Amino acid sequence: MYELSVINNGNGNYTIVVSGEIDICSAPDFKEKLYSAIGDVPADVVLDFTNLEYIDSMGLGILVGALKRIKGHGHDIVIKNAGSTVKKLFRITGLDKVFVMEESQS
Amino acid sequence: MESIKSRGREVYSGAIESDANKACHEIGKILKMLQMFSTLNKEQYFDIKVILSELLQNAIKHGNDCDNNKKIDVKVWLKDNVLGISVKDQGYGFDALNTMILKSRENECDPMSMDESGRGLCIIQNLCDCMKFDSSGNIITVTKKL
Repeated sequence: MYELSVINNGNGNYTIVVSGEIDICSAPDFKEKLYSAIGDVPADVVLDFTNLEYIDSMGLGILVGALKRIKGHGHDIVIKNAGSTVKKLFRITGLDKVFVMEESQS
Repeated sequence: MESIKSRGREVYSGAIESDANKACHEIGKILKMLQMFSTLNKEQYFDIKVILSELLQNAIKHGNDCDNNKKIDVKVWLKDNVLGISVKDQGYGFDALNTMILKSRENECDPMSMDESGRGLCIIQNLCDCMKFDSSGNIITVTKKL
């Protein structure tokens, strides 16, 4: 189970808050909702992972797909506040070098 | 496959359909059963869930070609504080040697790769202490110290 909500920060900036678990059951629905949310956003997109408890290679693949779309418009995805376990997967796969990672706030 | 005796305490043994929802359900069940035998911290719980998920995704997609009629045999055991998981699919298997070579290459994921798939084995190997394939190529066994 996961939740995705979009916060409009004004000036075309959006934060997408993702919480819960992106697993093999929820991944297809997450993909549809994320791609719909990023749509034609005319700026960098912030993905707030403060309350994201679980993700695996399927979810990471969806994020890579989203990044390709965003980069196609000349923008980036910023991963914000990922927890230590989620960050570990980004580090293992090298995706911490592909996405802009913002350190968790203490 | 290793004998039951050499595996230690059996935590789970079952045949799972090649279906994402069924796999999710069984992963939750395996984790609950494992917690009855061993106290897992947050990181261990996360790692084991990822390992099980990657192994089952691999078996469903690459082993059983997403064929719901094909099953995945999963065995989980604990021995001397080491977790063992074996996953057997009903696919045709593959060349174990070539897979090992491929695996060693995948040990370090290409950070610049923008492929949307292909990170599963890399993740499994990094989260486990040992990963091995049987000669027929359709059984993967992993171990992880707890």
